[in-house]
Amino acid sequence: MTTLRAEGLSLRFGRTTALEDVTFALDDGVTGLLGPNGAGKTTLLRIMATAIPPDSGHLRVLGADPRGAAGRLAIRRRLGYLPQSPGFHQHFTAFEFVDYIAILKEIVDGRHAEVRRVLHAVGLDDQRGKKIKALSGGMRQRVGLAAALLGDPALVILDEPTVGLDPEQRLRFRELIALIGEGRTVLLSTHQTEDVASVCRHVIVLDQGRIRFEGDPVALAGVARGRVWTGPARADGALAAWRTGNGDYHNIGDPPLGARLADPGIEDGYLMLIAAGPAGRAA
Amino acid sequence: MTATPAEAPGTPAAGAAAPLRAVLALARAETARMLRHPVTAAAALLLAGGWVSAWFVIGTTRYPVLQDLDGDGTTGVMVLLGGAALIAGNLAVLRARRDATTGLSQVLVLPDHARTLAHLLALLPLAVAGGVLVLARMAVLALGAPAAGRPNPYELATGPAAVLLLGALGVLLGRLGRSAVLAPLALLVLLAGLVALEPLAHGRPALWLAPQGGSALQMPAPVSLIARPVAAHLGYLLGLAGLLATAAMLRAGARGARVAVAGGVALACTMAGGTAQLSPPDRAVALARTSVTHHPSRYETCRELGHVTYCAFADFSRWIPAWDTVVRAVVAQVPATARPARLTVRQRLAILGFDGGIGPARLLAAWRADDAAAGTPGAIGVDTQWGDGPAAADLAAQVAYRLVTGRTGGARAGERDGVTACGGAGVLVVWLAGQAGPLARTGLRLLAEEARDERGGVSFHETRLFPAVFVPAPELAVATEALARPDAGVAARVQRSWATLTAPGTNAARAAEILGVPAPAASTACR
Amino acid sequence: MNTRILSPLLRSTARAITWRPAAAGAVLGAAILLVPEALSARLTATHLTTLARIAAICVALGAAFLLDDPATRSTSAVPVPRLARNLVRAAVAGPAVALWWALTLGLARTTGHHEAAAHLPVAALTLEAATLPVAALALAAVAQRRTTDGNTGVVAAPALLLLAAVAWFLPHPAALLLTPADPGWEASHHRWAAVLAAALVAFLWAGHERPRLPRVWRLTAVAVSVLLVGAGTASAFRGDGERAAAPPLGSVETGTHAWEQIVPGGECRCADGGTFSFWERRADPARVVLFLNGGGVCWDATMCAFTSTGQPGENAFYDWNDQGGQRPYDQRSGFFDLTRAGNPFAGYSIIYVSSCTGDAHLGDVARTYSPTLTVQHRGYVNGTAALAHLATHYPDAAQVVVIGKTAGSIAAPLYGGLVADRLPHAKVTVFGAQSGAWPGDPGFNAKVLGRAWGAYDAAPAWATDGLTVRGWGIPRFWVQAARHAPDLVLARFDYAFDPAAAVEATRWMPGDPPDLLAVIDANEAAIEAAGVTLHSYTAPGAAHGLFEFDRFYDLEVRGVHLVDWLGRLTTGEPPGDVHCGDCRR
Repeated sequence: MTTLRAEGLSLRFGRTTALEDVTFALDDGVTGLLGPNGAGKTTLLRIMATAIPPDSGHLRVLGADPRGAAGRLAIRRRLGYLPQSPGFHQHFTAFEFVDYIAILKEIVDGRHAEVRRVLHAVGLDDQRGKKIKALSGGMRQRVGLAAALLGDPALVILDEPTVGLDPEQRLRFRELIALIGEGRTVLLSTHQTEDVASVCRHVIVLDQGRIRFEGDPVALAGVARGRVWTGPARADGALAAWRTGNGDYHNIGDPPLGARLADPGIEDGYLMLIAAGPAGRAA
Repeated sequence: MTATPAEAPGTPAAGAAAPLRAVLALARAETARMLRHPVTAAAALLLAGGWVSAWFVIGTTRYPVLQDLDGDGTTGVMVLLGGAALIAGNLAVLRARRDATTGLSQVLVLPDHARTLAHLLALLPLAVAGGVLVLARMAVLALGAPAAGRPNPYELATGPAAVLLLGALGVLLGRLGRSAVLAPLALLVLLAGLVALEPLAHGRPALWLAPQGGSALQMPAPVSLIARPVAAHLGYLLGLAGLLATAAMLRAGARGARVAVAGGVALACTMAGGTAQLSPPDRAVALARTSVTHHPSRYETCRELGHVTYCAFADFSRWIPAWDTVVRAVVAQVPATARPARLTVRQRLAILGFDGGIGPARLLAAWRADDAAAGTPGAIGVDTQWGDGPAAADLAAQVAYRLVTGRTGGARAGERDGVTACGGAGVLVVWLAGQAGPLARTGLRLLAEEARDERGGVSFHETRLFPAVFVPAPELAVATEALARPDAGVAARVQRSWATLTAPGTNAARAAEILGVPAPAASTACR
Repeated sequence: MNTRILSPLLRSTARAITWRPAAAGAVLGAAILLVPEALSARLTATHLTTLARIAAICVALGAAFLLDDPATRSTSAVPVPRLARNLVRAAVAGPAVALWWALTLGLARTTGHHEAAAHLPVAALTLEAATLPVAALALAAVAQRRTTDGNTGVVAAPALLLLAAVAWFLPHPAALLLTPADPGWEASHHRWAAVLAAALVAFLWAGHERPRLPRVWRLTAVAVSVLLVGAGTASAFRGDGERAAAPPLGSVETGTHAWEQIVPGGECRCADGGTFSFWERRADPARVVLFLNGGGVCWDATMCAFTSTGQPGENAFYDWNDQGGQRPYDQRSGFFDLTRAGNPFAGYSIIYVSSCTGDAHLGDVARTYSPTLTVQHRGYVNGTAALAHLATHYPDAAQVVVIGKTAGSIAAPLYGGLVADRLPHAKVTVFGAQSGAWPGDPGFNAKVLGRAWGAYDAAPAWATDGLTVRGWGIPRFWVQAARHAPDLVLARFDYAFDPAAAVEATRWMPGDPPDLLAVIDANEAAIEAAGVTLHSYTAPGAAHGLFEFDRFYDLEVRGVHLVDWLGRLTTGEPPGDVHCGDCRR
């Protein structure tokens, strides 16, 4: 069942085009949204979360149209949203804050039990009573995630949830997201390709407001097939090149004759799409 | 996206000059933001709008006394532009403090006190903008209208200094607290202080401790008599601004000899200016004021236009043509035989309180004596304000009374009302006053409306303080009817029946008959 | 919205709101209104109105921060719509603001030594104080639409101040910030109500989540509103100008309630021989006040000199050339505010007699005090001429009140008796104010009443019946009048320690310096010992003016207002005596 279908979404802020003719569909499972800064990921996610309306295009979320107030309401009742750098009421404890969001989500019966459940799900049982200003950055992210998980939403939208987390925290997050993604639709925006590689079943690449790629991670890696090689030096004319830990250089681009081809990863495919320059960008 | 990041712009430069250049760069950026901020734009618009509307609404603006109006705009500049500086300066600091907690990217990393210095420096162009507005207004007033006197540059600078002071307060508040509510609240406290200060410190020199300074004289006076301690007040304001700025710097972590010196200088300025402005005007000025009040003729120059001599203080001589227009219009309606050979209009000043041994009767007597000594007995008085209707109506009515009765108006010792002009004489006084032009006519209407006491009638004053001529209600009613009929040949009838109209036996009803207008409703005995 | 969440939402929202700005505004606002009031007694109603407005803006500034929400990015995707969340915040803060206003205004009216404070226009100011926070909330709601970090107050607070500045500049026809005494006060509050309604609508509209209008519509809306505002301002200015160019007044009313000057002629004279006149205001022909004005007395060359010198240090006695003293129409407050509803004499006809003879309306003699000074003490002639006018023109008067003010009250009881003679069917009340300390000293009686003024000879027979000139003293007047006309209602008023009330006669009073209150009380006791009912009202303090100030209405001793006391005096239920407890106040 298609959770979300977007057709021709466009949005302009003043003279800047944030999104142009974005069309895609989401199913169950975790979908990753990749793109550089300024690609329009946050804008797209805010539109998905019914926080802002698009200038044009059709959108159908959870079977409802967010253009009408009733539709928005219906969507929000089954939606969980973790925004980029969410703000908190600093003087609330973690429990109080999630409880506040729970009230706003109109969770009436068994509200406190629900709050405890989500806090447990993100591993914050012990920090329930601590004030948010006393929590570390990672824990605050988890509070935000807990709030997004209230009410067992059918669609969970996460905007760069792993930014600022250390590797161990990031691992735990990925586990959590993978767990959440079973039986639900999760749309996860990130610019860390490892996140995508580890949890996402489906990937959308966004750049300058347009969709560059939609498909599964293997296909994304396949975009760079035959264009990745290692060599002793940085190649001139490579789209991207960097020094690896053992002294070799990892290059992406048109391989010179005789180059030692390497297996492409998701990152290589992503970089190929993004770094291709305006002329070379796929429509 | 290329693999290696390009060199980030603005990497910290080395060297001791770098902080200063960074401070100036930040100050430039902040100034641009402050000047563009909607609050500043709105304040400037309101200020300019207020001044423009004053030109159209307040008559005396068309005959501006520059040494009176220079201080006039200070409160407006202080509240509007100063308020904008207070809020914009505060917002700039708050914004910077927020940025500092989340990390900077493109801007040079400056220590807190350097940022604060930059914010303080950013206020200077705002004060200059205020100064430009003030100067522009003065220029328009001086060039666009027959202006009297000249403005005091220190007085003009007080407004911009107050802008600096309030801006420094805004920066200090930003360093003291993180809430954006402090600056607007501070502005309201200042406003409340302005409101409450006036009755609390009524007229006393303590009023100078407030930024807008002490109150002005009751009426405009020649420049040499003003003697307001504005230079000291300016020093006081700048010193206070310096103190607040130093406090902000200290709060931001600045230490060292330079801060101490700056604070010391500011404190000295404040104390010196503050105490100097509280001392009363020196004796010479007080004596001069008394002398000018009692013997204006010694300080005036006279000019003859036709058969009328106008004597005015040097500062105000540009107004003589305006007076002449009014007088001439009145004289023109009077038959040639009744015109006097000589008429004098003399400017008078009364800027002293009426306590301490100078009663109003005494002052009038002094003026009469002075007129006699100067060879212009029975001079008609005008004061140092012109341009609004009542002033013109007063002058016209006094001239008319002289022409009609041959006497000068004026309150005789003991009477409170000025001479009553009865019957035909009263009708003529008002009608002639109404002929003196649109300004006089407006003034006539305003005087009649404002008098609005139970006797009706209208009272004309000499220099606004002393009642000169009183015309009772029935006579006023007849004259009003006559003025409402400009083309009914009233002027011709006046010329024809002048003698009858001015005869003592003619009462208001008879005068109405002669002029061909309805008789008045009631006719009380008029003596 | 599910209403079952309302209760927990209210509680959570109350915790979530940033209260500090509102608290700061409330504290400062209260201080702004209450501190100047406590410090100075000279604040007028205008000052207090302005201070109350500033206090209301302080709290409104705090209210601008009520919609601040640091978690706005999260709360923008919840089912509870933004408007509902805004309304909940307003509902939480509303009662607090109302309570603050009630407390502050209540304190302002009751504490502080202010008559003006007690007369603050509460309803109008409350309307203004309600409009300002609602406007702040509306501005915050508009800011909410554009903010990304939930800080609405930082935009809304300066915007509110800007609106206040614009309101201050509005021209008179559209003005919102008028003083209570301004005739446009009522109309301006209709405009305030309109502003309140507009702010409410704006608050509700801005809270609605709706798709943004396309750019062209938004620009059009802005342009249209700018045009409207500009056109409104321009037309307001033009309206002013047209008023200025309108033709002069058509006619001036000279109707019945004007003061008319009556010159009785005959033997009436002022001290310098000049013409005497009195003033008449014709209103109700059945009720008349005969007002004997004061102004000083004299009985030697210095006191009676015709021009007062005004030099400090010399006795500034009365200017005997001033034939009218202060004219009745010059005075608009206190007793002379004859349009005021609370004035017991509002509808009365009034005959106002000034003293220009220096003899307290008692004399009838030409006295030569020095080779250059002959004074016509013709007060009795003048007064009885006015009396004759009264009797002739008000023959059917049912109520006559003889009021004497300071020096004029010395003769008030005698004139009361004279009125009773001329108008036997009228109820005559005598109210003599501020002469209770005049002594009944034989030396004074002989020198002043007898020799200087010739009052003893001029007085009617019943007044001096059985008394020598040395025994005919001022306190005695009351007794003689009461004996002659037993139906007279006699009443007296004094300030306990007013040094100016009988300043000329202090050397005939016992004690040095004389205890004025003791003299007053002793005089009254003597009068009442003679069997006369003298109603008295003695107020504390050393004030001098009564009739000419609004103190006339506010004066209250021991819970009894003077105006009420006077009202009962004249309507036939004579009140009890009122005497101050702590008279030194």
